Amino acid sequence: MAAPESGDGNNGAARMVTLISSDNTRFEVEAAAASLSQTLQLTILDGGGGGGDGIPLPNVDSATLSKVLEYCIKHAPAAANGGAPNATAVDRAELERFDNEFVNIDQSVLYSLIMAAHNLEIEGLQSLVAKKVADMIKGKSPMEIRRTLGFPDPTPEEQAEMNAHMLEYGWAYE
Amino acid sequence: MTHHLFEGMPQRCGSNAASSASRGDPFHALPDSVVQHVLGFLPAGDTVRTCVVARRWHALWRSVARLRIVDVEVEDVWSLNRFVNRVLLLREPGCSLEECEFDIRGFSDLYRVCADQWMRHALICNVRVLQLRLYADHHVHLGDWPLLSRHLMRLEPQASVMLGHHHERYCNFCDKGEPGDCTCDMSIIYYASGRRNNVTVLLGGYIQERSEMLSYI
Repeated sequence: MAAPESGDGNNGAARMVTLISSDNTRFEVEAAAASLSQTLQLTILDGGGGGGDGIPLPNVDSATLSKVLEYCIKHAPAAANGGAPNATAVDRAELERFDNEFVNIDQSVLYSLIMAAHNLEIEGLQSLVAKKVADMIKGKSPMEIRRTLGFPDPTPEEQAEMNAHMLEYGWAYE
Repeated sequence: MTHHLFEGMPQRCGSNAASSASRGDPFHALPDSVVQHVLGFLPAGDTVRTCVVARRWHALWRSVARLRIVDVEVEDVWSLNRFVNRVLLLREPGCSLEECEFDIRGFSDLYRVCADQWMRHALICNVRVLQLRLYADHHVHLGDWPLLSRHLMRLEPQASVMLGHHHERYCNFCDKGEPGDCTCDMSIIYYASGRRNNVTVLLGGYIQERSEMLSYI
């Protein structure tokens, strides 16, 4: 029951907070890691999430939250150093390796991560997953992009509209 | 598994979201801001072409916060100018740019390239990070009239121009640390790039005939 009355204590054990997923699983993590989320940061600064309380996250299920926290825990030390100016090349290479590995995942998991990163406003993770999707669709034709992302086939009406837009933007297809 | 994951997510696309979810692939339901974030990582050609991917995507490219004018697949400078001018001018009016990258190193003959106008246009869009990379065989015309930016923050060692207003306001070139004080103009920055690196590096590119270029100042 560490009451945050003295703010963030620098000495002793790191302050922990509890996050509760939509399916009621509790995750205890260091406040510094959870604070990578802009959405959670203020609550945590105000002393929320400590003790028996926990912060409910009704939009994030436990599988996704566990993945998100894996990212936050890995990136928290670098973020605490104010980005990466003090990080060594080795540290940076290790983070890069981790990131590449991290997004090497099934599309449904990727989608859940995108939404969680978006809702929790975790900037680094938002960019990481956005880049991943960009890599998936880069250089592909509109129909290939639709297939890659699993869009339903266009209705005849939508197809006609796409063709019209294609004409309008012919200059981008030269 | 997918159904379960999707059910926890907000549905923003009405029936479309539901139908794509039932197909087991929910990407169709991504919020506009997320799609735009994704588009910002694509080369500009790809970004523009996404306008026909789906009805909802049609206008999204016009307000992305990040433009990457890289790998432009055209043959000559005339076509390059036409492409970039269209990308810039078809943007949603008043929509700010965070970052703008021009990498036209694939073009050796840049005679009459509109790079200067592009950069100025990006600055009008309040761009915070601006990069221009080029190699040129010929003299490249850059404006001889000053460009003032209240957002000008610092010059990167690789001679890309960083502009910003959210972070520290500090201009490496004029050494003014006070917020909003910097009035470096582009001519001076061009000169500074050449002088500081002691090579004919200009905004990340290589330009011959430096002396002629400097005669603009």
